[in-house]
Amino acid sequence: MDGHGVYVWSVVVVSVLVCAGLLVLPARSARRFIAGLSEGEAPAPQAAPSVRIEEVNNAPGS
Amino acid sequence: MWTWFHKLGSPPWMYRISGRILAILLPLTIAMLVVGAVWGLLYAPMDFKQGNSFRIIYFHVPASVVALAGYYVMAVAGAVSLIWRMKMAEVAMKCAAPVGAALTFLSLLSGAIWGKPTWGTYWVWDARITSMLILFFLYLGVIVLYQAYENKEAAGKACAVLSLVGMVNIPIIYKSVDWWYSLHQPATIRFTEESAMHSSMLQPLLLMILAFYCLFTCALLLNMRSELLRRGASTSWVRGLAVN
Repeated sequence: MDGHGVYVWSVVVVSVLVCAGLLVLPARSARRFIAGLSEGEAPAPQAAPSVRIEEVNNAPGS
Repeated sequence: MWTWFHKLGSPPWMYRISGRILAILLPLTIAMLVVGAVWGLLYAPMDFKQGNSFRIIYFHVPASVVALAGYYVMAVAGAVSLIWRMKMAEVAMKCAAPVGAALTFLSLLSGAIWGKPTWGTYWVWDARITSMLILFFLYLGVIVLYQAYENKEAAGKACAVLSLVGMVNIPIIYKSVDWWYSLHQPATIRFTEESAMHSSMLQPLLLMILAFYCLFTCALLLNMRSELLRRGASTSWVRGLAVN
């Protein structure tokens, strides 16, 4: 590569790592999630409730 | 047409159809990446000015082009989620951000490495490079903003607004090399006139750009599938997947 090999091949290595990461990480995350469900692990809550319990209790008619 | 659009909003349907698309697209993408990289690195002729360092173009240009296109995807998904309150669009917006950030990072890093043998420096505060850095921060901003909110509905709205506001940066990136004096070379591939590259160099580059578009699609779909599983953890269709 006429002295440019270190630049070219370092870009190739980084590109391979980024491309592999983009494909492998989400696929592995999904597989682990399904495996966790199969083993009966409780799913983590996704979001805090948008309405607080006190607000529900204080609502008219409650 | 509208039936298909409505089906897009159904998580089980989306999960199933994305699995079918990935079964075809993923091997095709990997094959295109391998063929394009080998073609560009080993068989394309050497540039008479830059020598072999020009071969970085086969990773730098595709990553940059798709990083910009990814922002369009994220912003359009954000607009759809704001206007039609479509949850699947919010999922797409959220999942496009890390993929776009990774490709922008690759574009910046490969550009910096290419800069050393070409310009004699890794970094200059040039209009094109700085606007790409802003694009990277916009992607990171969407990721961080989504995590910052506890209320995910509000998070989705805030991220959609941020991604739409960030669209201002896209034409600046495209036109930066024309508007300001820049070390960065002008566009290599032109649609309105003859390309600045010889076809023997251009063909592997076009293949790599197509491969990176497919890579973006695959990564986006994989991220969306993972996100749909997490969001639907307590639903019967996800439980059904675990049983099977």
